[in-house]
Amino acid sequence: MISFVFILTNIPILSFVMNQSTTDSEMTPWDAIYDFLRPILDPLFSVWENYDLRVTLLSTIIWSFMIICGLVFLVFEGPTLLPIIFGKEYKPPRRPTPVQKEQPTSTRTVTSYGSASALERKKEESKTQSTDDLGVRVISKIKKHHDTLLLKVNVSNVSDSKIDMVVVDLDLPQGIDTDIGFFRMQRIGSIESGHTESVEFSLKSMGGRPELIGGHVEFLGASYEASKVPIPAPEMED
Amino acid sequence: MSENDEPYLPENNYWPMLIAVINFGALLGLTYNYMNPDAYLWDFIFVLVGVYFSMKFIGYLRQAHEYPVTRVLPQDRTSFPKEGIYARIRHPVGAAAIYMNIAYVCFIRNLAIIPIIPIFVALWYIFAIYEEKIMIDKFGDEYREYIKNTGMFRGGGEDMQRHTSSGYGMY
Repeated sequence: MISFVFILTNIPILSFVMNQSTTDSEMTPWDAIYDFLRPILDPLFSVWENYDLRVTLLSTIIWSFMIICGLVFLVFEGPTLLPIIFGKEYKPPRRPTPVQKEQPTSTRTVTSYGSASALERKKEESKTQSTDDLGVRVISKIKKHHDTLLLKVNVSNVSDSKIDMVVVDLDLPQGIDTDIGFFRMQRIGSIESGHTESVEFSLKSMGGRPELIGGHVEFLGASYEASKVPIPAPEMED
Repeated sequence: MSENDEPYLPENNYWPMLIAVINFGALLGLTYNYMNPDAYLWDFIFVLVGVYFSMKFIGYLRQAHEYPVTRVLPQDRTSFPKEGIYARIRHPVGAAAIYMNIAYVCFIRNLAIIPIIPIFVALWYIFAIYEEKIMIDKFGDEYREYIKNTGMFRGGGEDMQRHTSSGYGMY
């Protein structure tokens, strides 16, 4: 046993740990680092060694987070209970919503065209969208030249803010297709407040009904919410 | 009453608040009675994990309520958001509540709590299913498509966001 201890103490590291008198005279870089860190680490060690303090610390963290999370939930979800508490309807802040509103549009001239069910559906669809509410007004006009139809879609930004990523997407009925070199979707980009941009589509008619041409204008509003406005039935131009 | 006569005034969705009161009311009682009083290294690790889930809870709630429609009863919604957190998950409030349940498990550090948590998670799941049923009835294929591209409580990454970004990303 004694010889074993003798061997161990001859190993430099262990001798450093076990025989303090040896290390006092030999200052290693680790000692210097430890001496440097001692003022910082010692209070931490003493805190860690104090069990009661640890319990208090842990308990404080836990209850703080529980209370904070409870309050956050109340702040966000609490307004739903306001009508119950105050006995009146709480109105959440409004934001432009993209689909299905109940106001007729003023730029609609579909009365002179056919009465097919598709057209009726289209009329209904037009009626359910309030373009003014979304701040965008869409007008489409069509010019016929033999079997070629030139569709012009005007998009007016009547809102107070710029709209971005404006795309016009056509929904073509049977018997009408895009002309060679044209796509049924065109990108406009951004439209400043109060400005109007237009795109033209060249279409080929093969017996289809131009009044059934539909589609939608899609854009990002000021709230960065994607909104869609249906393209009204096109007005015929001579 | 005609819808055109009165201004649009949706009713508030009080269900999350109600479920949360049941859920966290019960958990607070359990916390008070069953919380492990130990304060060793593992306890600190568990509490740190609990803090992480609490932060997720706060983050999800904040992101969900960037869209006022979150607070509207599903029957009264005229649209549903597909951006922000809704590009990844369909029920951020439910997801937040589930994360908070996990946080409670980490805070309480008692095995007795483990069988109780799934009951509350199931409650949030049932609520999510109920909301989705209404939304499908209301929005039809548009919402079915949205379901395909998002997770109920846990979302995917950038790819899913691209698909649900209103189709613009395709071009």
